[in-house]
Amino acid sequence: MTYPGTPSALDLAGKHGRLKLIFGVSGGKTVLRDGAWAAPLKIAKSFYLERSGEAFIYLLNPSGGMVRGDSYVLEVNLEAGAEVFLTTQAATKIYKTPGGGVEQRCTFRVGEEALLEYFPDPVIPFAGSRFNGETEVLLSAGATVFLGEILAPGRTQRGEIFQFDRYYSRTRVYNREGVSVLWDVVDLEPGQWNYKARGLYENYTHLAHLFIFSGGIKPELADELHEFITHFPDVLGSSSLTCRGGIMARLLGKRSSELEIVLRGCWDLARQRLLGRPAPIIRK
Amino acid sequence: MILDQMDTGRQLLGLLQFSDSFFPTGGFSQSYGLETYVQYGLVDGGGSFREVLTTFIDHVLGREDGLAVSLTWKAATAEDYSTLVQIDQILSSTKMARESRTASVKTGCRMLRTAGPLLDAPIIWEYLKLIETGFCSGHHAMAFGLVGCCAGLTLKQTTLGYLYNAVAAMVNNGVRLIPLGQQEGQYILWDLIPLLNRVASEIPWKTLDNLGSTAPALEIRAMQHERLYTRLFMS
Repeated sequence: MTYPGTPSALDLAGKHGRLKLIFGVSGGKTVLRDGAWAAPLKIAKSFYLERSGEAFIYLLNPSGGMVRGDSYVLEVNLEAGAEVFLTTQAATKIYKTPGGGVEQRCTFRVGEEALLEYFPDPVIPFAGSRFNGETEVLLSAGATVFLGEILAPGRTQRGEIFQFDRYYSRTRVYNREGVSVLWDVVDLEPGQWNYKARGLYENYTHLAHLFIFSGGIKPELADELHEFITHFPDVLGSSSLTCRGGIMARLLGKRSSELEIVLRGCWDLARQRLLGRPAPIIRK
Repeated sequence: MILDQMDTGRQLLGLLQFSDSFFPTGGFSQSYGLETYVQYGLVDGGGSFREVLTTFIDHVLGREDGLAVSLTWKAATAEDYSTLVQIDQILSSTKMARESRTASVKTGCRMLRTAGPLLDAPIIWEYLKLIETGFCSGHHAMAFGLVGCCAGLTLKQTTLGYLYNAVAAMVNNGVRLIPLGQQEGQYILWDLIPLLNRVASEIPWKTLDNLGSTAPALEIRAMQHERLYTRLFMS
């Protein structure tokens, strides 16, 4: 991946967090079959919120955030039928990275009839930070995936809005034939553009998306999600069918907390339609 | 290709023909979200319209469709079919708003059907076959890149021709929607020429890895368009 102007984070001193997790089904429950991690990344013990046997996992990063030279690699494999909900314990803070940047690579392999729900806490790029992220999802037959993410413009409580150097995050999803089904790029260089311009962020500051892949998606679900989003006057958002039977919702808002509510509502609605069960309460 | 030997006069005329809105693509019925802006009163005159156009050119055309034209031209020149399929599939995956994706495919296939018999180039027939069999969708940017290559146009001519065609269609749609005078439409188009030129000069250096744009509000308006009660445009 070319990322002009930034030396590879691996060249610089920093924490090289690694996390590899393999989930499988045992006795009607999804369990961690194998795992390896390198500081600062680790996970909390799986817990179960539903009778479905889905494993709920918190990713932990005791270091509190990413600093210059940090690189994280997260690899999660779900065997056939495994069901995993993955979230973070807290927001991902990206500290000022003078002369460098941070990198994050996430790879999810979702086996046949498996379910992956990935809802990390918001990412907060601080003033002067550079983030370079790649997320790849490989789908097998009958797999269901929910990906929901929120990007804050900085530490908004202290008036820090769009002062980071660059935020680049690419999400690519491939189906079982290896055909690209989603290619999303969030590439923001606040120094280059006026974010208030029509077509970009307009009067909003926070960005979120929800990507859904599943065998049984009906086109009406996009209309339902759109309709649900219109109930939030401070959020601009909509939903549409993606190229090979997926669904996406894109949201712009003024606060992470509100986007979390809308994202959760969309997730809950889609979960009921696709899995026949509502979204559980996730305590933080 | 038999057209390799064309002189610049023939090149210029070919460029004019394929970039002209008279060349049938159905682009006049596609607004790519602009109709939502106008209907919601967010674009109501030349100033606000120019702002949307600038986002559209700098982000969507410069980082996505315009780049796809260049990548297609290069792949077609190298007769690299697997890259053509890859560009097509990635373009379909970046266009997440359903109507914008459909618009791109409709105008693309229309262009290929008209240009195919004119140029009678194997790569165009091959691409149409890939579309028929479902491996490809047939995006407008790719149709333009293929036509440019097969008509003996340079990469620069093809890229600029595409950008001009896409922006002129958008300005024309704005003139009808907002509405604006024909004259003001021409002023707007003229003022955008430096931006088109800059975007076109950056495109040849970019690779497939650079494909993808971030214009969230424009994308959301394009998705909202699916649910507008009255619509003059298909996207």
